[in-house]
Amino acid sequence: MNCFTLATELILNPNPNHKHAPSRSRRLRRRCSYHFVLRCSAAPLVSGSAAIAVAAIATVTESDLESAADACNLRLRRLSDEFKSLPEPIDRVKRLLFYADDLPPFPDADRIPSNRVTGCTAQVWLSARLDALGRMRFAADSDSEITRGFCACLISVVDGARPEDVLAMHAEDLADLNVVGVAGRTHSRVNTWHNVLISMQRSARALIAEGEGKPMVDSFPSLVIGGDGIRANGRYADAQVSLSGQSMGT
Amino acid sequence: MAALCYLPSCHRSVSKLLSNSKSQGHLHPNLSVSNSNPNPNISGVGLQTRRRSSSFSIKASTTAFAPLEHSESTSLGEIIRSDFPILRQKVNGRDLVYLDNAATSQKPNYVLKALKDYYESSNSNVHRGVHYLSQKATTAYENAREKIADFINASDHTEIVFTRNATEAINLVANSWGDLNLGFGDEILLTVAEHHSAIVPWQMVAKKKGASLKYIGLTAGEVPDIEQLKKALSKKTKLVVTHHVSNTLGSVLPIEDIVIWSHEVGARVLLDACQSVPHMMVDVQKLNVDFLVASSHKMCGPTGIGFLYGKSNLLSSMPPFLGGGEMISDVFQDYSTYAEPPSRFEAGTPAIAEAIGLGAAIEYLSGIGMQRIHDYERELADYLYYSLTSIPNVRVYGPAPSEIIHRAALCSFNVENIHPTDIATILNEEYGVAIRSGHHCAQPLHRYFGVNASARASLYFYNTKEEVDHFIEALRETIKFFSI
Repeated sequence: MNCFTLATELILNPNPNHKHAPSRSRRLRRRCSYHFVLRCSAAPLVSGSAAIAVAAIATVTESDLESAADACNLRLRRLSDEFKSLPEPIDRVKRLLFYADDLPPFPDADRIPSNRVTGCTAQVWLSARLDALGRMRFAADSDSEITRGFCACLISVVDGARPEDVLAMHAEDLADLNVVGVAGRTHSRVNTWHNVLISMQRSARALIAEGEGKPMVDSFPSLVIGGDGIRANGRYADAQVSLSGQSMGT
Repeated sequence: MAALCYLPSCHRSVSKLLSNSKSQGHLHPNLSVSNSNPNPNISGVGLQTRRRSSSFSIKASTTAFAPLEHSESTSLGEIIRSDFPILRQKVNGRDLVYLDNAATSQKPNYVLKALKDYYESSNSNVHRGVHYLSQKATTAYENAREKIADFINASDHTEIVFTRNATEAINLVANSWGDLNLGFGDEILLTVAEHHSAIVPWQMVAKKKGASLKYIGLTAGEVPDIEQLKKALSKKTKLVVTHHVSNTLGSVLPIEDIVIWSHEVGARVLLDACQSVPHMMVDVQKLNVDFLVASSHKMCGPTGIGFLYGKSNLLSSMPPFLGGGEMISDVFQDYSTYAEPPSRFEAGTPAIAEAIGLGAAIEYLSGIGMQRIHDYERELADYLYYSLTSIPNVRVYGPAPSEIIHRAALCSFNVENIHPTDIATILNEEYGVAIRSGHHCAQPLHRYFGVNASARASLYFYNTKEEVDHFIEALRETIKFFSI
């Protein structure tokens, strides 16, 4: 187990007996006294994939880390700081492409309609599963390199988190990740952060529902107007289902 | 001054044009703020309130521009761009190069001032009051309608219905004319290159009425196959929905011929003129189309307003689309009678300022001259196309320009192995160039080409060849960036 994995495990698996109901105010009051450095290697950006060598120096005080949600927030903050340290947009794009190179191959079998992230101008696929520890594991791919970079960054924040912690994230939390273009608050179709996060959260809800034994409903991407009728999808379907009291998968 | 002048003072914009002009040609404003109307582009018909009888009439003045004289040293784009304040800004420290005009156009000071002047001096609800401001607003609003009618040579101003945009105009026809006239087994003919707004409303009404949509494909030269369209027309065809200029292919269709063939089988023609009316002279009587739709925001006018042109007899036969105030004649508890067109299709308080802004935009464009705009854009179109196709691994969609095939000044393209969104992102971040990436509301067309998305650069008369050069150079560098 390398340093990164060890540090990750320590962060994601705090004392299991510790009861914590995270709240925003509590997180704000909490002092984070551990030092965790997640640093991308200074490997030159040459042609082809460049492996990310992560040096993780972790001095974790378990009492200071009350939930895996803190890990998500910390990683988000580190990511935000990383990109903020690059004042030129082109350097931020290069860093995104660096992250993109590190995305593992996405299985062709997972390129199915239910794994499509809707709302993006590029094609984006996202798959999600729970690992043996009940943590979410994500994989993603896109036909756009910059979008792959976005996905890689977002996965680096939430991969290994509990489903509840993924659900607790807000699109506004990503606003500081002003990598390229307008800051993350915009609701346009090009806001990949927002669209991918929403898909991740749908996956989290589905996995929670599955774990609770609730019936799953097939997911569909959007309102489909076809020759054989108009079928409800996405938020429209969510609204219909919520009114009928059924559990809705993704 | 008894004249009603919502039009901004010409002096400022004209003086800028004069000071920037390096040529002998000048823009000559005709500043007659009287009741005369020297502008041949704008009808001088009685500028009185039309839709409500009133003994109080206010005449509006029109300020007119004489056409620019040809300049060999300064292009139209170089002369005119100082009228557009938004073009002066920087993006990430670089000069903005705005090449997304097929999505929306920028607005000249002339239009911005018209909007401001309206709210400062004339704002009131239209068709509803007898007081001074109401009459002022109503006159200006109806003047705008007349300007549109003249601009496209409609036979009467009542053939112009204000809508929110072209999309709403098509929905109006689909839900009113379509609902009344389509039945089981009827066919609606479209091309695969249609905009989503010209497809989806017809899918919805066809589903309700048991009609079907048939699509015309492209030729090897990547233009809609007119011969296939001719063969597809039959007694079952009730409507042909077609673009005039494609927002993705840049191609221009022979609408007069399409209308002749369609009428021979008893089919109506709805023309999507969103990409033609802003860029060239469009004469609805010459084309003889039954319906035409366009949006203000693509022709230097504000967003939130567009229009439907419909032949008088057609509009008169159509039931209302939206219900509410203005479109009624009498309202009883259990039924209502409806107003005549165009009021019948303009429920509620309209976008008054926006309509006036559109009228100002038409005045502005007319002052430059649509033929001049078109001629200049022809040059830009060829320049853009040949510049783009000179870059290796760039594939441009649509026909190659020639003596007989004219392209609009837009190119949708793909670069091998690089996603258009990545291209557009770098062009924006590093070079200040604004292009569009995506499906351009033409998914069926992209599917036809077997691609998910494309990039698109689209020009307007305030763009210059220098900007095209900057875009091309930026694109070359962007391709190098992703190839490393």
